Amino acid sequence: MAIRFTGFSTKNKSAINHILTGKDLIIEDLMNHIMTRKGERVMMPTFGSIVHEMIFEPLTPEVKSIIEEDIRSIIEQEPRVTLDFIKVSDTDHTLTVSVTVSIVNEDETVTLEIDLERE
Amino acid sequence: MSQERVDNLFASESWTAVYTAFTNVSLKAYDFDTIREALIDYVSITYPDKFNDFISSSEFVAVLDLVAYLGHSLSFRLDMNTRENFLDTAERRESVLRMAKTLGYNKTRPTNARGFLKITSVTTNQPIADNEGNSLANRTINWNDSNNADWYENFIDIINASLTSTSKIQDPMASMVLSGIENYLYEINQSDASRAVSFSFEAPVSGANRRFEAVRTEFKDDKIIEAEPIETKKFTIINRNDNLGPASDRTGFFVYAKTGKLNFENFTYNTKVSNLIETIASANISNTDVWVQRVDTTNTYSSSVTKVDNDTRETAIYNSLRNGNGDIVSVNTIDNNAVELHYGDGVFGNAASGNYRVWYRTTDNENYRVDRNDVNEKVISIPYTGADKKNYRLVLTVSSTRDFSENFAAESYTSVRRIAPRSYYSQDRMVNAQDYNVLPLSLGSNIISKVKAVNTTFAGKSRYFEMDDVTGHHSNISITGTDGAVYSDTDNITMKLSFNRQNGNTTDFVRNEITKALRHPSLINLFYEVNKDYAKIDLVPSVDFTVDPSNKKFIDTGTTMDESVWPGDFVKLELGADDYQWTSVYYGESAPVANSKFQVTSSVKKISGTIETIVRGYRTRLEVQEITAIKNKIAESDDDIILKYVANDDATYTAPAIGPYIWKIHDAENDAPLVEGQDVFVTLSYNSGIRESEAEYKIKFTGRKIVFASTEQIKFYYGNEDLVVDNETNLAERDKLLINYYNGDRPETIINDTITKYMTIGSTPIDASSYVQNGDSAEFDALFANTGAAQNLDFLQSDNTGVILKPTDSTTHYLVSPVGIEYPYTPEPDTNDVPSV
Repeated sequence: MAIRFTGFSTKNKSAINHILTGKDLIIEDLMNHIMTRKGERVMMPTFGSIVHEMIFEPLTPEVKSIIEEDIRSIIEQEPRVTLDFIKVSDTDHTLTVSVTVSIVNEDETVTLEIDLERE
Repeated sequence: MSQERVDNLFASESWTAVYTAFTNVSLKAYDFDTIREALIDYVSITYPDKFNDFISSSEFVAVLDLVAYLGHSLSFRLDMNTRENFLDTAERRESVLRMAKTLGYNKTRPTNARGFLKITSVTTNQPIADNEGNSLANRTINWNDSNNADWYENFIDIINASLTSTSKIQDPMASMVLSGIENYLYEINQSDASRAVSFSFEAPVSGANRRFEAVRTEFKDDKIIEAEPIETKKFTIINRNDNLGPASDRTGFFVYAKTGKLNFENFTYNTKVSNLIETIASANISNTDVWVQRVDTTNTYSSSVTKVDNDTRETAIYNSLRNGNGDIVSVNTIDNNAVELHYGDGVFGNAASGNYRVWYRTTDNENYRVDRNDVNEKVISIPYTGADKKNYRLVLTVSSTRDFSENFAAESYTSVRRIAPRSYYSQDRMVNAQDYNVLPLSLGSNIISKVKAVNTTFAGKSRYFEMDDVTGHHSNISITGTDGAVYSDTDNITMKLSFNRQNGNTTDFVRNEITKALRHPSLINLFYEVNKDYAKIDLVPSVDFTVDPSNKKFIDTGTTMDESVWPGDFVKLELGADDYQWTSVYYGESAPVANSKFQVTSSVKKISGTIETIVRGYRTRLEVQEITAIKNKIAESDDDIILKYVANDDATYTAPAIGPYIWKIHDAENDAPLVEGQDVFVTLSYNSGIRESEAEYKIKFTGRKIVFASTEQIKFYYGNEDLVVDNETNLAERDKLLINYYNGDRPETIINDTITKYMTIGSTPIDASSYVQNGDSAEFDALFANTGAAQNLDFLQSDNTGVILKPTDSTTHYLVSPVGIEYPYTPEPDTNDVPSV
C-alpha cells in the first residue's frame, strides 16, 4: 500500500490546522523547493533553485536550457513525482515555467505554472 | 509533557527524576547535522501519525533546520566558552594571556641581544694635535695599531676631545669593577642641536640583516645597563680593562648596543582616568625595553613613571610607597607580543593624567646569537661640541666582542599554559624542590628550558664538605678523619633455602639455590684470605703470549705452561714497561681450557706480552660431578650436608678435570675436621617443617668481611628509600668505598726490640702490647684503639735505604675484593722504618 504522506504548511490555504496530505503536500514541497533561492536555506547552500537569478536574463536558448536543467534536477530530488514536461516562456514582465509531473503511485498528472515577475 | 516537567521542577523533584523525560533525546548531538538528525528522529518516533514528510523541501523540516542551526551555534559557543576558561584547553591567545594574568603571570616577550661593541678606530674633524704637534684631525686612529707607536695617546686625545668637561679620561662619570674587569663611564659632549638617543646600524647575523642600536649606558646595581632614553642626556662610552693588554677582547673603549629598533608614542590625557589601559600595538616589543615618561607640553622629559609588576591594590600601594611617588605603570603582554600599559587607579597609584611618552624597542622574535665579529667595522658618527664650542663629528668604528648575549624569541603559548599555573603555585618563592623546578622557568622558556631539582639535604650543611650532596646520594663524598680503621672480621651467615626433599626439583635446587650461598661475598673473602699465598701464582719466568688479531680475547702462549689456567682464574698480563692488564679467564661451557690457548673476558690491549701472575678463581658454578654428589647426598638422607671448597686431590674429579679446587661433600668420619674461619665450607641442615610448604634447607657458614670503622669522625648516612639509578645501565648503583691513607706525622723508628708503646698504623692508633721479631718480619697482636677490633697483623721490614724486603709467605698482608682482585700493600719509599698498612 502506498504511504500517505502527512505534512505541515503555514501558507497553503488547503491546509486545515496547518496539516497537509497527499497530492497537495507533494505539490507544496515541490513549490517550496523551486521557490527557494539557492544559498537561502540555512546550512544547505546547494538547496533551491536558480530561476530567480535568471528572470532578468534574455531568454536565449542557453538560458532556457539552464532553467530547464535546474527544474529537472529539482524534480529528480523529489522521489514522489516523475517529470513529464517542462516549458519555459516569457512575456514582457513575467518568466513562466510550466512543469507537468506525474505523481508516483497515483494515477494523476499535475501541471504547475510558475510565474516569476520581473519587477 | 513540558508543563509536567516544569511543574515537577517547581515541586522540587529530584533532578534525575525530572530529566527522565529526556531519554528519547540525543544529548550527544552538538553540531548541525547531528542535532538535525536527532530532531527528525525525535519527531518521527514521537509523532509518527501527525508528520512523516521528512524531505528537505518540507516546510517543517526547514524549521527543524533552523532549530538545529541555533543548537549548533549555541553548543559551539558553550563549548568554546568552557574551553576558553581553562588554561589547558584555551585556544585563543587572548584567553591564554588573560588567564595567565589572573595567575599573576606575564608572558615573556622577545628579549633582544645586548652587549659590548669594541671601538676599533676613532676619527674626528676637530683640529687637535698630539704632544708633538702632529694634527689628528681627520686621521683614523686604530686601537692597538702596530704601525703607530703613539696609537694609545692619539686614541685618548681624540676621545678626550669629544667628552664633556666633567668627564675626561682618568676622571670618569662612574666606575665599577665587574667580574674582575674595570669599567669606566665617559660622556660624549653631544651637540644640543642634533642629539640622538641611539645610533643605529645594520649587520648580518644568523642569515639576516639585523638592526643594532648603540645606546646610552649607566652603571646601576652592579650592572651595566641601557639608560632610559632621555633626549636631554648625552651618549656614553665605556672604558674597560681586564689587565690582559690592549689586544684583549675586554680591554679598550666600548659602546653598549642592543638589537632592535627604539620607537616612541606620545599620549595625552586631559582628565584623570582611573585604571587607564593604553595599548601599544607594535609587534614584538622587547621584554625589557619599555619606558614610560611624563613629558611637558613640548614633549620634553619631565619625570619617569616606575614600572611595577602588578598594579592591583596592595601591591600598588606598596609600589607607590617604595618608589616614593605614585607614578606607576604595569606593562602587560598581549597578543603578538604587543603591550598594554595599566596605569594606577588614582587611590593606590596616580591615575593617568597629562602628557606621556612611551619608549619601546621592538626586536626580532627569533633565537639567534651575536658572536664575536658578527658586527664588523660598523661606523657610528656622533656630532659633538668641542671645547671651543664649535660642532664637530666623532666617527667610531665598532666590532662585536664575545660579551654579547643571544636574542631570544618570545615565550610560546604552550609554555605559558605549562608554566603559568606552576609559577602561581610557587608564589614567587623557592622553598621546596618543586619551586626550584618551576620558578626559574618563568624567566622565559628560551632562557631556561629545563630544570631538575632534587631534594638532597638539610639547611646548614657543613662548609667543610666539598660536595653538592652531603648525603652522598647523588655525588661522591670525600671524608677526612684520623680515627678510621680497616680490618677483616669473621662473618657468620645463615640463609634459608626453600626446598622439599620429597617432591622438589633437586637439580634446580643444587644449581640455582645452593649457589646463592656459594657466591656470597663473605665466602669469597674467606677463600682469598685463607688461600692468599696459594691462590696467587707468580710465573717465574713469565710466559710469553700472542693474541689472535681477529679476536683479541684469544691468548696463545705457543708452549705448554707449567701452571694450567682454569675458567674463572685471573691473569695479570704485562704488555710493556709498567703497562699491566688484569683479566679473567673465560668461563665457557667446556672446562678446563687448554694450558697453551685460552680465552679471556676482555680484549687484550696489545697483540703480545707476558703472563706474569695467575690468581686462582673462586668457582661458584657447580660442575656435573659435584651436582651429582650433592643430589645423591640429598636423596640419601636428611642429615646435615657439609660442602667444602678444597684443593682437588680426588681422582674422581679429574676425568674430566674441573680445576685446582673442587666443591666436595665433607666426610665427617674420615676427613680431618673443618675449622670455622679457616676452611671454606657451608653446612646445609634440612628442616621438613610441619607443613609441606615449610620444608627448607638452612645454610650456615662463616666467612670474612672487610670492615671500615670509625668511632667519631667519619660517619655515613645510609638511606635506602630511593635508589640511585645509573643512567647508562638502568641498574641501581652500589656504593663503593675507596680509602686513601694519609701518612702525616709518623712516630719514631720502632725496630729490633720488644716494644710496649702506643703507635699508629698509617694514621690509625693501635694498642700493640708487644711484637715479636720473626725473620724478615715481625708479628704483633694489635687492638685497634678506637674500634676495639682485634687483628693479628704483620709488620713488613725494610732495609736501611727504605726498600721493602721481599715479603715471604708470612709477611704479606692482603686486602681482597669480593671479585677476587687483590690490593696488596704497596709501600712508598721512605727512610723511616715504620710499619704501615
